[in-house]
Amino acid sequence: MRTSIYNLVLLAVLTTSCAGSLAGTRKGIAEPFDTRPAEIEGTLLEVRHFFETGAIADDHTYCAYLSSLAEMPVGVLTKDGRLVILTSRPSQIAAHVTKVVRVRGRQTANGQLLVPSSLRVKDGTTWATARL
Amino acid sequence: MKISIHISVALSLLVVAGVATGETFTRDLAPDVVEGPLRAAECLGAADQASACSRRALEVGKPGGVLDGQRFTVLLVDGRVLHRTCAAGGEGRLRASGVLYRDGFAMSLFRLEEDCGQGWTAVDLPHTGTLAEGAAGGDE
Repeated sequence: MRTSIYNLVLLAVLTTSCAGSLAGTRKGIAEPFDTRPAEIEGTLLEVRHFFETGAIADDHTYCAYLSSLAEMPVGVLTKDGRLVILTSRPSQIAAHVTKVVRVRGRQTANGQLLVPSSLRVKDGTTWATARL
Repeated sequence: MKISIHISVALSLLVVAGVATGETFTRDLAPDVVEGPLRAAECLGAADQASACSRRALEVGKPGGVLDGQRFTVLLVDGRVLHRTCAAGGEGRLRASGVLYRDGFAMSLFRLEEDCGQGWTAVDLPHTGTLAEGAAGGDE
C-alpha cells in the first residue's frame, strides 16, 4: 500500500515536471516556416546539379544558366556551407547564377528558404542591384 | 562463454542504436519517397490562402514542394510541372520518389505521382531535358 502511494506521488511529480518543461521549451521554438528578416551572401547556384554533382561554376556555368532559365530552383551557398533556396522565379535571375550575391528578404526559421525582396550582385569590388 | 555474452551485448546495443536512429541494416537502393500536399515555397506562411498563392507562384515557374508534416521538401523541378498536377488545386496529393538531400531539404525526382481522389497516377516529367527547354526560351 505504502509503495503504491509512493509510486503514484512519483508519477504525478514526473508528469507535472515533464509537462512544464515541454511547455517551456515550445514557447521558445519558432515554427519551421515562420520567417524573419535576413540578408545572406554567397554564390548563386542551380540547386539540382549542385546536389547531384557538386558543380557550381567553371565548366558548369553555362549549364547552370540554362537550367535556371528553365526554372530549376536556385539557391545561395554561403561561405560556411549553408545552402538557402530562393523562392523567386529562377529564370528572372539566371544571368547572375554562379556569381556572388547578397540577397535580402525573409528567411524561414529552419534556414531552408528565403523569400527575396532585393538582390545585389558582386561586380569586382562593387555591388550592383539586380532585378528579381 | 564470457566472450559470447560480450558479443550478444554488443549486437544488442547495435540493434538498439539502429532502431533509435531509424536506420536499418538492410539499406537498399530504393528511392526516397515524400508524400503530401503541394505548396509553392513562397506560400508556406500563407495558411488561409495557401492554395491560391501556390497556384499563382507555380504557374510562373517558382519552386514548389511537398509539405509532409513539419518538413517541406523542395522538388528540384520546374514549378510549372507541379502547377499542372491536381495537387496545385489544393485537394490532391503528390508522391515524389527520388533522392533526398540534407534530411529532406530538397529532392531530385525520379518519379512523380498525383492522387486526385481516384488513386495514384504518374505525372509526366518532360522537364528532365532542361537544357532544351531553357534554350527554347524559358525566359519569357
